[in-house]
Amino acid sequence: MPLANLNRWLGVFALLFCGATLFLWIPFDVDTGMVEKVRRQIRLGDAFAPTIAALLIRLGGLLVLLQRPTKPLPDKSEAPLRSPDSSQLATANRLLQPKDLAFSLYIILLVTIALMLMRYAGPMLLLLLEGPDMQYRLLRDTAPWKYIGFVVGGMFMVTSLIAFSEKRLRFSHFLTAVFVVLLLIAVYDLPFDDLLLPPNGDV
Amino acid sequence: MGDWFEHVSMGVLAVFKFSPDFLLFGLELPITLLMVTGGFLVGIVVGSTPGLAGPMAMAVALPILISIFGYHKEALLPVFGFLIGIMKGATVGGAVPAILFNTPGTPDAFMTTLDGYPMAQRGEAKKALKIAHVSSASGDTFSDIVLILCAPFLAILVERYLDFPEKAALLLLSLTFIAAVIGNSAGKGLIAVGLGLLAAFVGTGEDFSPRLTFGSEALAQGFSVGAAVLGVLIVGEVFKSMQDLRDEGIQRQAATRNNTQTDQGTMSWSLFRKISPYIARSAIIGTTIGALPGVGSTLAATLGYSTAKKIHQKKGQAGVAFGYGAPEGIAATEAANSSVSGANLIPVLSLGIPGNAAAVFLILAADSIGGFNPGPSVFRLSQGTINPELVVVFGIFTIMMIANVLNWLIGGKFMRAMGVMTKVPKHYLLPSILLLTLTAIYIQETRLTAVWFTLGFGLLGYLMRRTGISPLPFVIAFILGGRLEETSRQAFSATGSDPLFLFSSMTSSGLMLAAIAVLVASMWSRRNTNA
Repeated sequence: MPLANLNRWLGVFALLFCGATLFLWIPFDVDTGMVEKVRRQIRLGDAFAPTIAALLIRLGGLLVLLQRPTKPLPDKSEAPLRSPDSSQLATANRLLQPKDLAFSLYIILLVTIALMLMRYAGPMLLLLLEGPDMQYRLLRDTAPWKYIGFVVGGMFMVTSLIAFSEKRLRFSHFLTAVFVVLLLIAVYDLPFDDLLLPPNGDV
Repeated sequence: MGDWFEHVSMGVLAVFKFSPDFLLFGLELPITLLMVTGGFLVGIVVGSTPGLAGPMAMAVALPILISIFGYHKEALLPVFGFLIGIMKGATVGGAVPAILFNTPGTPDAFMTTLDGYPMAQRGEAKKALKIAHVSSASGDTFSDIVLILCAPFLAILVERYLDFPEKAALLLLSLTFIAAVIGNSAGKGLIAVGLGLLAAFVGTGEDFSPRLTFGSEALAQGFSVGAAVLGVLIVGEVFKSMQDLRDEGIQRQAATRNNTQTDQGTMSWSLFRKISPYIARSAIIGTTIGALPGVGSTLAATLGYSTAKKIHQKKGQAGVAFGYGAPEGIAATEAANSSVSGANLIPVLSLGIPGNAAAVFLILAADSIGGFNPGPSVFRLSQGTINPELVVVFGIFTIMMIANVLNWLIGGKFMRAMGVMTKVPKHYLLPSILLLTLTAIYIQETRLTAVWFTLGFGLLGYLMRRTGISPLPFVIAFILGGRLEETSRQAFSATGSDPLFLFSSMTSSGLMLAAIAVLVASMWSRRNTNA
């Protein structure tokens, strides 16, 4: 998407979001106003700070709308992982495109499946093997039950995402996933009695 | 004065203390020293690995460190030691893949590739690494000295002269400054700040019913700092990098020629004399940039390099030109980016305002452990009493100097051995980082809701990057949101419910006008740049 169009959409979105926050979200979801009277003293209410935040978004949206269309510059901020090298600059600094929506949906789908497997693999296996009389909660801190969800879900997450990046599935992806999951168990679980791997705190 | 010396000596001794809780063959261990060393070595490994960087390693290490050391004030220095070690090691390590494989290990090492890689191609890889190490260690040491000298005085000034309205105005000025200087658009920076503040206000407030929750129980507890910070900074970047990799296709690293017969990895005295003015100049540039909240080491490296290049051209100096393997180019870049790390802690310690992603994780550590609230109050001295927070501050200064000594002693050798890390394929690394981050969040919060929140923030971080919005103002606003509201409430009460409390004194009015001026100047300068 050209930068000018993107900025226009972003500016409009910011203004709409600000309007919805100021006139719908804050009035209906905050119990006190901008100021409130408590024991004959006037003090700032809970709506004050969110209103300021919404106004900042509004100001930002207006500035973005007023901004002249420019060529995108490399971001000067400190990116947490790494910035692209020159050969990758064009790809890495490109702006929002329709295919990004498809990418987001794929990622959400894969990670959701992985988290669902993580959450339910242990209890489901217990149900299959031991029947409904045994509760997973009682076994959530005992091996091998405490590892099942994390191993299944974690391996699915790593394998599927590597395969997604490489656009093919290889055995080495699976081996990497096994290594990563075992490493995380070794780092987070084996040395500590008081830490719970996912999903054992929820079940 | 005597009180100051007492705090300094207690801080230094706390770092060298042998802990009875950590024994090896029955002998007590100086645990903070060991943690600094461990963190520093891990930092070099992380910095040498393209796709990883210090903040990511800090995020993953934090829950493990807290599990080991617990939630009490004795945990502060060992945990800070490891995190600061990572922060410093990663900056040094970033030069390794930049020089050997033309791939910056960290964003701020990008300019190092311009001269480092040509040197490596000429068979002078070891020499280039040596130059990078000496420059990086020099810049880092200079920056730490400035931090130690400046932070206490700045904090004392803030405590002495700023009341609640001025402090609220100062926080607003900082947020405006961060919005204006990070990224390419002040408007987008303000949107990020507004969103960060709004996210911080969800589920909080003084009323009995939590605000902005849509009636949801999960939102009533608010978003944890970990979920928001790790989501936007780490998960968002993982998503974006994964898509970039998928779009670009998987690329293999090109090997460099290593001429071991002529390249012994040593630096002659004449070469050191030649590059030392460049190191000194860049150290000053980097330290000045680093002291400003939000302006990162990438900008410092760019400014350091471009200034050095101009001077090199102006003087018509003999030798290799910049961009073709000039040792001065590596020296200028590495000294500039490394001198940011110490100075970046000036706003953290004196004002409680995180200046970059690494500082965010230090604040997160302090917040998680408790007993230390970075800000001007940590430098408060009362006659005859010990301020434990001030002892921690001097402990942090000691840790930073120890990390520098380690950098000088073993940093160079260790970084030269890390070339192998560039062979780790990035598309294998990114999903592993994602699982690691989500596991770290779960370990800290023990609820899947926090993992979902992290993913939600990750998606937000991804969209912000794709729309040209820098995520750092969001994170800093999220961290400062609670304090801004609290200070504003106190300022409002202190001025007798004056609606114009932010303009109640000359100082606060000046700070507010400065905030407006920063925005206007930023818009104006971009308008002129683009014209």
